[in-house]
This record gives sequence, structure tokens and C-alpha cells, in this order.
Amino acid sequence: MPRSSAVARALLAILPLLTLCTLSAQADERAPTTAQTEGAAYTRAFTLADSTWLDSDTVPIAQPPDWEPGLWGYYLRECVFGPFEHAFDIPDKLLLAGRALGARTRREAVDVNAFDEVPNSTWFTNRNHMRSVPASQLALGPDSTLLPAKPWTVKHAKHGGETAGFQIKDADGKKWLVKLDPRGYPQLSSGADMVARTLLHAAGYSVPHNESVRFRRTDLKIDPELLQGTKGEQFTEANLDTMLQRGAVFEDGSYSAIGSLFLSGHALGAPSSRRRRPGDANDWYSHVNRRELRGLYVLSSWLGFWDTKDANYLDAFVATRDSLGHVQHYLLDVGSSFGAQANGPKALWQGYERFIDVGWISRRLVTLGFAVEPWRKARQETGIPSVGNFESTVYEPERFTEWNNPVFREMTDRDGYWGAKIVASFSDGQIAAAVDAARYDDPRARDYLVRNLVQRRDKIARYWFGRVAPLDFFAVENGALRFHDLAVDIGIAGARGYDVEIQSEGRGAPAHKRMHLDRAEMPLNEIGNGRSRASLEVGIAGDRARSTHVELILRDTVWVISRVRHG
Amino acid sequence: MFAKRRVIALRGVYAGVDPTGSTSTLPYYRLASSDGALRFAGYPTGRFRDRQLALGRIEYRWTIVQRISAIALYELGAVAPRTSALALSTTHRSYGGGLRLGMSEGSAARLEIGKSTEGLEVNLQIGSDF
Repeated sequence: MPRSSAVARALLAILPLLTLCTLSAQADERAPTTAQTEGAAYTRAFTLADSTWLDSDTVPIAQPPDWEPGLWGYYLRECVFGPFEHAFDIPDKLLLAGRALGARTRREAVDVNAFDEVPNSTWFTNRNHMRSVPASQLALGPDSTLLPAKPWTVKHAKHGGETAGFQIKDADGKKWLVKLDPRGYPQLSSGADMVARTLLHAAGYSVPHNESVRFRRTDLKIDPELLQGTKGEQFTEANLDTMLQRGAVFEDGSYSAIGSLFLSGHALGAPSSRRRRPGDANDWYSHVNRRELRGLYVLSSWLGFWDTKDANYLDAFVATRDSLGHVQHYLLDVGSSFGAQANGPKALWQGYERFIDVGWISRRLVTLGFAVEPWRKARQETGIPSVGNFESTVYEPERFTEWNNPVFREMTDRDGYWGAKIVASFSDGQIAAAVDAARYDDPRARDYLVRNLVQRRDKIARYWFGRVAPLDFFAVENGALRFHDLAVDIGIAGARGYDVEIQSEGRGAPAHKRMHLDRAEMPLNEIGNGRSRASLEVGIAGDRARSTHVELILRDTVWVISRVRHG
Repeated sequence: MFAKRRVIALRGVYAGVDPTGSTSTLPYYRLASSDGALRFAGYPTGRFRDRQLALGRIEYRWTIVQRISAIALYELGAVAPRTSALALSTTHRSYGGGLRLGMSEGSAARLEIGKSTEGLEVNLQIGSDF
């Protein structure tokens, strides 16, 4: 059989499969954005209104039982078995071929409104990309720059995790968790945590109140009960001295650490990326189908936050009345960002290659070890103790790797675009303000981080805005449909034209029309008289980025935007 | 070889036993045997035994993930009653490959598959390593 004939037959064989995938994905798109789309086993009493900006997931509930997925189970499942399972997933490879041919084989996120945005919820609050957060406010993080008042009373030693630390009660009676920076690297983890939590909060995520702290041995006293071990746990002065030896020390002899104020409410444990929290009736959607969790990949990529495992989230039950309340979802432990990890500078491969990376293992195996990985080419070693190993030159936004997070694997271009839109919303000044929140002693650290975060932001914007046309924030004003070209707004593209395909319905037969716009504005009379509905595909002229779909409805005599979908 | 992640390792071992005093015989169990660290890669353990044993191996190791390296090996092993009888023409050749997990300085776990004229041999070894 001729080779071309064989290829054609193979394509014909998979065509029905691809068609099914496409139809199935389109069906998902048309379905209302409710939990019902996730299966009959879980239903919601009301639907998420298409135009809502609030996903009401604070309906009072009884406190759910404490529960969290096991850490080692997560490592084994996602980091060891997961990559092999994924590598040998043949149906998925067929879908990969389908995607290359333009089929939509992945399910889109379900918690988005008519404008392709994530409504505010206990998981996410729209902030910087909707309304720019002033630099002075951004530096405050979730609330303020409150520091733990000294002296500190050590109440418990920290158990679990890589870092040394302890729980304290400060002079004002507030409870904090203090985690030491690794020996020899003052402000490495604490600085990374401060910058990352500041940016993530401004992006819209809930983070705890963390602050970079410095203290002396004389600022600490051990709680008498802990000292004597009367409640089972004993922690002596010698134990404290031994622990402090693992911590980083400034030139003046003080210790460097991050202080994290205890969250209000009852800690229920980390949520699972694979299942909803038992007993939380407000936890509507499968977590893998939440856009704010999928799109977090892009922000993680920006910040080099590679430690995005389940255990670095926390659910807290916030009681409101009559012992009822709701669950608030936090992102914790973001100190393994930029060039840091808990026990020192991050390993050079982290962020570029997975712990078990079947692709790279295979490449190294086949090339007898002569394959050169990107992280070997990257000049990551900054020589700045408080920064560690971080760079932006070799960095490729879409190739950033972490713990093989199952939520990130579900990310579609739309989710990626959403994340990129948030990253791109941060100005140079805001980034500088976030880095200043860390109060770095070493001025090189501030300059290096600001420069590299700006470069990484621009790379992210170029990559995602090259895949999905960054045409957004559509509005009807003065008889015209106006929109923003985000790439032009942030200065990575010059003024450009746009192509629009209009399909309209109304009196008479459906009409189809194409037009070119010289600027981000389309007169609505172009839709035509007597029309009551219109669907627009707005793309960038001469650009391959996927266009934006906009639907308009004529209400009385006014055109109203009823739906926007990117990419 | 140009980088720590690519290593050519050479190993040469000689083991010989000679009778002492007036006797010219040796108990069988005192003879040098191809087992343990002296095992020939493509042959069953203890397959060869004599007064003299020599083993030479060249191994190419390249890191594939973290502390795990792949191995390609070629080995020559011989036994003979006298040192002078150890000759290249009488050597037993093996080649093969496997995986090596570096555990600490000088120790490793290795899983090897060796091929020789007598067939395939799989060997798992944990302990000191070259």
C-alpha cells in the first residue's frame, strides 16, 4: 500500500473519535456553568447566573470534618506513578493528535461567567486585572504590615516540613508560626514568601498574613509548660539553641525568618486537587475544573513557584453564626518560589524538569546522556544569598514544571490566557512594590528580582497573547463595541488592526459579514438594521492567535453583550 | 567524561590463591570463584572457579534522573590454574546494561542484565561499588 494511502486510512480511522471529542467539548461549552455538568452525583440547588460576578459559596453550613489528602500519597501518585501513567496513556496521545488538528479535546473550566471571568468566591477574588491595586495597598498583602510584638513565647516546636521553626505567642497574645530561613541564606525563603504572597494576593488568591521577621535569642522565652513537658511535649533551652543553629543569621547576629499569623477559623486541612471536601456543600466544582486553580499555573510559572502540591493549600472553617459558617481556601507556603526552597537555594532542575520526568529521562537515555537540558544552559546561580537560583533568559513560560499538579494538567488555552492576563496586569511599579515588601537587606536582591520578574512577565504575555488574541473588556459605549487589546495596552505590540466576522439574526435570513477595524472599536450599526442577535469573531489582523467570540443581544433598542469567550 | 553526569569507569580485579608449604593442592572451596564482587556479568554466579581469576570491565554510566544512572558495560573475565595461563584467548566476554542508583560515596544499588555466550543473566546488587 502506498505510504500516503496508509496515512489517509489512519486519519480516517481516528476521525470519528476526533469528531466525538469536538462535539463533546462543544456540548460542554453550551451547557450552563453549574455543577450539574460534572455529573448527576452532585447537584446544586441553583445555577450560576451567566452574568454573575459572585459565586455564592458562603451559604452557612455545619463545620465539615477535618480531612486532608496524605502528603506521601500525593508524592507517589502525582510525582512517581503519575508521569508513567501519563506517558503510556494511549487514548490521551490520540487526543493529542486531535488537538494538533484543531479539535477541542479538553474540558473547559466550569466556574466562569458569561464574560469568561471567574466570579468572586472563597477561592478567588478579582483584584488587579479588574482594578489596578495601588502600590501602597499592594504591599500590605492581605491586610497590614503587622509584625509579631516582642518578646515571643515559644509554645510548640514546629513539626513536619523541611524548615526549622516554632509556634509563638507574641507580646500582644497573637499566635504566629515562625519558620527560619536556611543557614547561610538570610531572607531566602522569607523574602520569596513575602514577594510571592504579595503578588498572589493582589492577583486574587487568599494568603495568610506573613511577614519577614528578624529576632534575637533574647527575644525568645519558652513557655514554662513546654519547658517542663507537663503536657507531654517538652522543648528545652538546649533544644531551642540546637534548632536556631539551623537558622540563617544576619551580620548583626539576629535571626532571619518568616512569621505567619495564625488564620482565623478552624484549620480543616489541605484540600485535595482530585476531590471536593467531604461535608462542604459549598464546594460545588471538581477542583480540576476550577479556572482559578488551573490558571494558577501561569502565575506559578511567573513566580517560579514550583511547590504547588495539595499540602500547600489550606481550608479553614470560618464560623459566622450559630456554629454555622463556610470554608475559606488559602494558598500557603509560597516560599519555594523564585530561587528558593525550604533548605536553601532551589536545585537547578526544579522549575524546568519534574522530579520524575519521563520525557527527559527518555531523552537522556537515548542520547547516552548527551542531551542538554534547558536548566543546564540557564545561568541561575545569582550569587545573591537571599535570591538563590533564578533566571529569566532561558525561562519558557509554557515549560515551567512543578509537582505534576493534576489541576494544571487540565489547563486549556482559555485558562492559560486568563492567568496570563492577570500576570500582565502587574506594572513594573507594582512588581517593585511587591519586592519591596520583603525588605531585602541586600540591594542586589531587590534589583535582580524586579528585573527578572518584569522579563518573565513579558515572556508570559508574549507567549499566551500569541496563542489567544488578548482582546478583552468588551463594552458597548456610544453606539460602538469597544474593547482593549491587552498586548497594545502593556506595550508589547504596536497599534494594529482587527478582523471581525459577524453573524446576525433577526428579521429576514441570518446574515454573515466580514469587516476590518483599524482600531479597537466597532460601530454597532455594522450589524445591520432589524437584527436582534449577533455573534462576532474578533481576531487580530494577520495574527494566528485564536480570536475572541462575542455575543450581543438587542434589548429594547440597546445592544447588550451576553457572552464572551476567548480563544 | 566531560561532565559529572557522564562517566567512564574502569575496573580490574585479580584474585589468586597459591598453596603454601609442601602441599600442591588446594581445597575446592578455597579457589577463586566468580561470585559476589567477582561475578562475571553474563554468567551465573560461581560459574568459574580456579586458582587464578582476573576480571576487567569498562562501563559507561550516564545520569538519567537524580541519582540514577544508566549503564552500558563490557567485561572480560578469565580463570586459570596459573597466572601465565591467563590469556586473552581464554577470556569469557559479557556485555550488557542496567541501572545504578548511587546511595552514598562508594556504595550503590545496581540492576544489570549481562549477555554472554551462555545466555542472559540478571543481577541485583546492593553495597559497595566502584
